[in-house]
Amino acid sequence: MMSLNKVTLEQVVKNQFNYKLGAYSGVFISLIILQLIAVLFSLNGVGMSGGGSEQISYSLHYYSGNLVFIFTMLWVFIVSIIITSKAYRNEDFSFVSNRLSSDLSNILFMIFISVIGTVTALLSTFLIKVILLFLPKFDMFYYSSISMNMSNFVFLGIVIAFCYILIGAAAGYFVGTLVRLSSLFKIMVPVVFVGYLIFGGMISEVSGLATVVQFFYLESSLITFVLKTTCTVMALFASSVAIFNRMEVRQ
Amino acid sequence: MKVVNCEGLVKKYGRSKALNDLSFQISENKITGLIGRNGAGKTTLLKIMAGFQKQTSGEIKVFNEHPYNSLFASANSILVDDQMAFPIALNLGEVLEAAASFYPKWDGRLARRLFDYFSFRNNQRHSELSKGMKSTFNIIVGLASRCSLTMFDEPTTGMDASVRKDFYRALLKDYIANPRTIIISSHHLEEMEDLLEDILLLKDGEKILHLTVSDLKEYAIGVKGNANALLEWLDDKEVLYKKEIGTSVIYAVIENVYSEKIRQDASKFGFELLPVSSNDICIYLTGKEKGGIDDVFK
Repeated sequence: MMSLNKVTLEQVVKNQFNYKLGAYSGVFISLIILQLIAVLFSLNGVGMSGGGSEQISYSLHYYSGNLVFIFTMLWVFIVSIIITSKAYRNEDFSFVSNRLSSDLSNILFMIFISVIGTVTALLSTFLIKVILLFLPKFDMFYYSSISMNMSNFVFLGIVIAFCYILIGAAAGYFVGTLVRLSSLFKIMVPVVFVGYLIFGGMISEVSGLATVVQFFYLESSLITFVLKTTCTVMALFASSVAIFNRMEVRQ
Repeated sequence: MKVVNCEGLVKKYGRSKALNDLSFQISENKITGLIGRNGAGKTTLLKIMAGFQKQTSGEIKVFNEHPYNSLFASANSILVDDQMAFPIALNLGEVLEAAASFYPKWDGRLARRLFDYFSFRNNQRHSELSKGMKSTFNIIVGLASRCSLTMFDEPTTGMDASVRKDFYRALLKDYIANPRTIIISSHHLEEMEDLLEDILLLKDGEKILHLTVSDLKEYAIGVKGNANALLEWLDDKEVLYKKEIGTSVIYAVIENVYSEKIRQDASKFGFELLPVSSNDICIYLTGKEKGGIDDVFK
């Protein structure tokens, strides 16, 4: 009687996740480069105002780490699309795998890189400050983080930034999976996305982008915001899993 | 227990049928050759068995489970083909380590020794290898994984003759040391014949034969003799192949039924009886009805 290997889903997902940490390590280099570029751009500042009288003159330069954050969100979006590509899926199926384990390990990987992206994006604001400190035109720093103590600021920043970046990951994964479904979607998804959401908003007010942005951006309660993102992310991941579950691999 | 159990399997791509009502069983610890012309459905069948593709209708069970989306079937089977992909970020040494973490029965020693024998280096990347080297590396993964169902789809693509020979020998030695169910699809039946126990012959997605190699050799017989007498004699027989040799002699291959009668007739009419190689039998059985390549140029 032959002895057959018994495996559990957790075991395989764990194996695949570890495997992907090594196999997809290239994405971290792109993150570092992108964040450095974003930091460089951020040194330009986001605005400036000035004034003065006979005795004094002042100029205010505004700086923000938002660009780093936006770059990170786009990065995670694109990485998530890339890992749904045929080549990456085939790599999963070279070893023990089924569609669910491939999806679950991908989701774990996306959560992992979202954490890394969030932390490095937040840390980069300190890098911007340090660089600015060495630039000759400054005397003093003011934080605009209004009436909040530092630990509260960091905690809120991490949670909210992480939520946004995770939405980017889930959206990318969904788009990537959808596009693989049929070559029709390869054309339709970008056209609808760019055309309706972005140009639609610029030309006339038909765009739904504002509604989508308002749904997250104007939410004032942290708990509701986290709930909204969690639901969105889960819905996107679940749809991706459902779609991929019916797809054939290694064709 | 049957390792593979297939009942009325149909796979359609659009309107064309890649597999058409295919039924067979493969039992434990046998080496089966999956033989057929290009487009006969060999690759499709293997991919369905490996759980990569889903059948349109019919039933297939591997280790008593539907292979599509079964982790159990995936953990106990491996399909080695030229679409096996490995990450660009990992070098060959790391790929072997990764494989070891997935397959509980992974034979690291065998993998390492084959790796060294075929002079791979740890720091090479899979994407940098030549076609034949890729095939060789994939085979190392396939053999060392020790899966109870090991499938090779055209494993020798791009390999030179001496590596092919080495592969057949390695496969046989490893099979003797660790018996398991092996399915190989290939065009090179004449090279593998000694290796195989069973042959599953496909044509246009349908099963033509599923026999042991020794039965296949007995399946047909060649008859050579005077054209007029032979043609008359062949009238009521199933002719698989016919060829004119010179003007008055004909060589024909017929099904070897009532072999005693054939032998008596042969001595009566003065025909010469010749054995037919199993490779030729497969070619004749899967041949197109409309004659050979010569007819294209007529």
